[in-house]
Amino acid sequence: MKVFVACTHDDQSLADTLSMSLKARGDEPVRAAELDSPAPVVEAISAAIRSADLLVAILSSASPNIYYELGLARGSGVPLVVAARDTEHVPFDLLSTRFVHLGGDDTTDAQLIVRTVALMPVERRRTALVGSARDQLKSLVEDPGQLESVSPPAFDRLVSEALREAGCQVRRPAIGEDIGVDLVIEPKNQEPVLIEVKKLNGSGRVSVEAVAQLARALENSGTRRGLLISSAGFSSASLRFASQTGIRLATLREFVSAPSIESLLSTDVGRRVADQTGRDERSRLAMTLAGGHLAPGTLDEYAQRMVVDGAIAAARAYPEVATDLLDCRLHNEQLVTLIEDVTKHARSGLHNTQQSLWGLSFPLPHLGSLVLLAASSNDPIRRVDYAEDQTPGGHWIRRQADLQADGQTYEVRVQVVAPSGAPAHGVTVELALASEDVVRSGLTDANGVMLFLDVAAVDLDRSTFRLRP
Amino acid sequence: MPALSDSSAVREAERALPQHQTAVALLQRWLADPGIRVRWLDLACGKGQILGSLDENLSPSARARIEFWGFDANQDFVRETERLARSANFGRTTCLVGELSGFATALAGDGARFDFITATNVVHELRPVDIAPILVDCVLQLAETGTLFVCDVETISPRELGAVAWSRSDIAAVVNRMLDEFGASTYRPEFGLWHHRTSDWWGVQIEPRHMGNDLEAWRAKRADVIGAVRGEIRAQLRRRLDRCEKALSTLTDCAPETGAEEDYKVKLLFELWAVSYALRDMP
Repeated sequence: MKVFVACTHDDQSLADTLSMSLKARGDEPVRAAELDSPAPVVEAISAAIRSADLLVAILSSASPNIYYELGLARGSGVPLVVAARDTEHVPFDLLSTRFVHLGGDDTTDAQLIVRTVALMPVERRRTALVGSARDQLKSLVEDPGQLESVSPPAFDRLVSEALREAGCQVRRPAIGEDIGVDLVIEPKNQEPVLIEVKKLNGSGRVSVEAVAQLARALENSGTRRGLLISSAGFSSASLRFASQTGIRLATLREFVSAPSIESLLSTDVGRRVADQTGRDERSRLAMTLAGGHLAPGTLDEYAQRMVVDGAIAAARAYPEVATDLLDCRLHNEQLVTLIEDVTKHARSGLHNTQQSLWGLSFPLPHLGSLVLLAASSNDPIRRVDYAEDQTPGGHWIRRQADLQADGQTYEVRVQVVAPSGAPAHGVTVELALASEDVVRSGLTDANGVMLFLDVAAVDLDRSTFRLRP
Repeated sequence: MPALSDSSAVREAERALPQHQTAVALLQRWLADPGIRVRWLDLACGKGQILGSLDENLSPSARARIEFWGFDANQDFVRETERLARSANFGRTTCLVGELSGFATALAGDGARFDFITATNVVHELRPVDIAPILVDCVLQLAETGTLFVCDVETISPRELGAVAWSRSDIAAVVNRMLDEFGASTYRPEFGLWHHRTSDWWGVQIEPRHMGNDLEAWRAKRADVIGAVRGEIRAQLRRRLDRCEKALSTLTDCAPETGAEEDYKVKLLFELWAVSYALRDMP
């Protein structure tokens, strides 16, 4: 059993004794200080914890590092044993986990911990990866938890093997070459390609530094083609930098989905769509962003820099991109078109999956924001925003409804915006049924807001909000 | 031109860094021959870090066969080195203060060449325009069987304003260019790389005996070689500046999104200044 021992420097002595005892029992103790990995230490620790069968935390002081490791293990479903002299430093949330009271004698304490470890009903959570390297990588794409548990060197090896399976001659640069990349591949009848492989946490992003280093390697080696393959997404800056240098960036999903290495090198997601649309570099970048399965907010900055053309094209060409776009905030007048496209795709996507919470927010001129939210039945909707029609006076009404967990609307907040874009203060807003019976009315405050409380009984689908003429 | 004001010299009594251990090991190799005396120049000697561990690693009789020269731009550092050197009871101790780019001139009156020259943790402190003459003069100052040991960090931590660090591959290109210009294009010294906790280190030993040992011809070529090596350094710096500006441009347009990118932004700003500043001297 692989046991990750989390401890501070002050507890090294106990950890040493514990490690020996665990080894004697046939277990495999792992400690952060002993990790030998070329990956950044945080990544190595993360991978080690996620792949462990059990984590033992020695908590003799309030150590942020140990708390982080505990949180990581807890979040990854790794069983925990907490050992401490008392519960002073044990997080409240972990008070229900298996606890070992330390007495101060390393040998005795180690025995106590080992005894507790032996009693833990630990299941091996890892399933063996099978098949070709590419098949194994495909499995990892579909199982992010398992991907997290793969160490960076193992990930590197799998990618290397998958490239070999794809018919490439793969080699690691010789020491004398000193070009600073992981792999060099030589596709048949093609010029060589420098490849950098990054294994990051699922929430991580490849930084622009990694791309700049690959650019440097290309310069130093006189090679023109470079490919960075990452288990996670890319930062906006890294995408921008890559687009300026011709370096290709590929997520693991793109890597395993590509029909060939050449296709991956010659067309990234952005290029594929850009080829269809003839859009400019910025558009292609947007496509790359959208297709890169990036976290919310990534497109935000780009969209503000006039990359919406690309996003629209991406949404049209790739329904899956449309659903990705739903998590991105976009700002541009052209978004009207995008709204239509994305909404259409999003609705179909949601209809099909009903699994995820998607959100789309478009601040539009004079309109405030338009947000489309949908959720699975397991995720209570917190807000539903949408735009109402323009009023005759040129005002805009924006409505936001808060829902209870059972899906019932219990309050509606309305903001009225003047044609100038400023909040409209002191305007009377009416909530009326289709029959034009006024159910409620009130004056907007200084922020142009009117709040209608306790509307659960009102059929909002048949209602409208309007300004009193 | 003074050295970087942001530079620092380390001397820790309790531990010798691996590069200093390497220097001492090389000294041990020299002194293994009981009949030999070693003329050793510690260029940019700092506070004498290498000397700190000699007590435990060289016998008094071995130390007595060392003729030591310490050279540094910082008077306080040299004073400290001299104190350590005196207490080591070398056969001879000479410590000089001066600009590193002028070390050959400062030592010219002495005549004899050195068996061993060490330049540890110094290249990043040098103005890039001075690297070529210092490197070339080190070679010209070596005895026929001598060794020049140079090592430095690939990244500087903590950061020093104006300091330009060189990677192993970059400095290898510089050294190899020098060797080519000296007519020793078949000689390619090994460049080591060590991964330390805070930064990576490169190191190289350059030995004239593999270069043909034609001192007079080398001296005649000195200016040309310096010019060519400066050209290599200038080209590298321009490429670095281009990459740096490109990366900063992307981070200006797209804010850093991770802690690593935030750190990189600061690193780039230091790099931008250091490289721009260096290129002022090398138009």
